[in-house]
Amino acid sequence: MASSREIDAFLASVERRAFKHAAFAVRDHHSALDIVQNAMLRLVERYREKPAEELPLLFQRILQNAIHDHFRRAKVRDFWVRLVSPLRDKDDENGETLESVAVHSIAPRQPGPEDEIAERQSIAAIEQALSELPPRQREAFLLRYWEELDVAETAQVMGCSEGSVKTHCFRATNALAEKLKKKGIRA
Amino acid sequence: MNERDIVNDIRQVLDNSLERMDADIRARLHAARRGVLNPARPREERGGVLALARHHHRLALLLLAGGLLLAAWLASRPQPAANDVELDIMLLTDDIPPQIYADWRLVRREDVGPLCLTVN
Repeated sequence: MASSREIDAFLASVERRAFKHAAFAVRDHHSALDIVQNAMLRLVERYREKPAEELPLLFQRILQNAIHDHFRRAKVRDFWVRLVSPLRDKDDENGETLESVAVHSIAPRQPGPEDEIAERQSIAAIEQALSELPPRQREAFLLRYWEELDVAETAQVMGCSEGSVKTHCFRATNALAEKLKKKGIRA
Repeated sequence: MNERDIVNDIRQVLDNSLERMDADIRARLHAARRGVLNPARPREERGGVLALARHHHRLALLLLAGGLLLAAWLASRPQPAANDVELDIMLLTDDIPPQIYADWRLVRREDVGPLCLTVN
């Protein structure tokens, strides 16, 4: 059983990455914070009894489920909003996905000092490229290469086969390389 | 640049982005973690019906349903009419024969005026 101190240390070590995962997926900082908080809460409430070494994988599964739940709820909410407001602007009804709508709502970052601008641009371009990946490819890429889970663990978190993980990772890497090349950025 | 280079470089950039994360977001993440690990503890409750109801929802619902059923049954029971009381008094004072009580269905009560019994 993980002690409170172990759980605290674990959450402190993963909270920023978890936020990034959620932000890449939902493209909204407030929603991403809510998702991370919900994931933390679920971990503490339901899996407090688990040994500390099981926490990383459990947390990743909880986090991915929380992201999926967010989209499920958003889809239902969007359905009812569309249903009860037929007089909305046509722009809102052109079949855009929630993700593509959300991307326009992100406020541009404030430019930092001159010497940091280039790096910030690289970060922004890579984050943008990651955000533009299909959700499953992004999920596989981040879990496999950023969280450094092995193929089996990634498959377990994603609820798919190891073959699918390899395929998603391969496609994600190629797509990222292509996007960054087009932007003239060497990652 | 091969696949491994791309992955390594992207991972490096992502790690750097964690260090550059806005202070506001870092503070909110920290607060969220603190909130999750140290939730405000509810006051110690003393025993009682409210505490019982809070901790044993099903039992409380069962008791409530039982109470409602009992109340409904009591309300639906025929209330003894004033005439019945008078009849009992008359029986006790031997004003009427006890057979009337035994053959209760033959007794017809008049609602108007003083007690008036007729035996069919």
